[in-house]
Amino acid sequence: MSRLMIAIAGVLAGAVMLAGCGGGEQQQTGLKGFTRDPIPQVGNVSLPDVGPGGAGRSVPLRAAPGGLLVVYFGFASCPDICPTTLSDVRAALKRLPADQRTRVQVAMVTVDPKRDTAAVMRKYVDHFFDSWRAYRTTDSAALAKAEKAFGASHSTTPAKGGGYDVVHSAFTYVVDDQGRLLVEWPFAMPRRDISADLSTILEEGTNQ
Amino acid sequence: MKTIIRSALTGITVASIAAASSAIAGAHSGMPASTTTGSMPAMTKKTVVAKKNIVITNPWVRVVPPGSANTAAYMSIRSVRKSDALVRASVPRSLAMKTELHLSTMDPETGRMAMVQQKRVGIPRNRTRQLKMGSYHVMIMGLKKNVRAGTKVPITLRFLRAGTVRVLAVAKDM
Repeated sequence: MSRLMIAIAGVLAGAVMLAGCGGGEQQQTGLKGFTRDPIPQVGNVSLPDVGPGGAGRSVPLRAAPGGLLVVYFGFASCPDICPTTLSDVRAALKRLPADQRTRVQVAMVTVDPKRDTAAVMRKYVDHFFDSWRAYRTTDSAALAKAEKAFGASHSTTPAKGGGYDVVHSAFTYVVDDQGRLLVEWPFAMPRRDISADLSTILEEGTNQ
Repeated sequence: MKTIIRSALTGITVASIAAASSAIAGAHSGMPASTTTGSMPAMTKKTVVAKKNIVITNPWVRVVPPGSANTAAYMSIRSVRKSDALVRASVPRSLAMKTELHLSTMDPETGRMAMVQQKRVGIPRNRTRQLKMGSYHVMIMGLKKNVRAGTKVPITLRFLRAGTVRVLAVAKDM
């Protein structure tokens, strides 16, 4: 139940955010997640992709032609929120017909590049997905710029007994091949809704 | 003395052996997946452990990618007849550096998630406390071994009233 409560809290947080942005278009898009008006453009943001496709080169955070890129900002040592979200996305992808599933790629952007080396990132994201990107930059300004474009954020706080804890936004974003951020899901978004949104966008296109 | 407790949440009848301080009354009942509720992924079977006033259902630990530093364990804890509190959790030293009780919370203004260590997790009388994703969980930190699907992780829980309860949490990738 409390997972549902968090989802509701997320909805409220999103509603506040949408109100601040001049209102969303929930009714018109038919999507379960949050949409923003105007649609944010994130396609001009590039970060190094340490996954198999990027091999460390700078790659824009937009989907391959005709596809969708699901983007999550997180970190590999996150034991609860991140793996729960990535598992939800994985399960949602499995619900899609193969012709749709193959058009979706998942990108994780680490907000903890110090602990998440390229090798850690590759192993981590590969565990969850077949088709993926792993974005990692040690340039904190570049990371901050990417976060800002999406509306994501994180901070670190010293942990008891050394080390640090990471506080982070936990939305999952969907970007099309034009670099448009079409929809975002709060933590604990039901898997069927994630799946439905991907399907809706892939079937109908965006027409926006 | 043997008493039968009926768990209102799961509807599973379990045998609770009262006053058996060292023995663990562990019962594995092969229940079908259909009894889980909400958006929680279906379990393959129910595991119930009961001791004194505490009934623990479905302890599981998340499979994390090889080399991951941390993972989390989840379960339902019910306290029968009297309130109790979970004050400590631990796993064998050979598995991880340390284990803590944590609560994931969301800042309603920013939507950011944080984890806050908990000194105690209260279990109200005749209620079930869910240790679940995005909420209370046992955080297992500094993994020394890979947690593979099907691995059974022994977790020792210490309760204020019921004392020590040991469970085997099955590793699931979900």
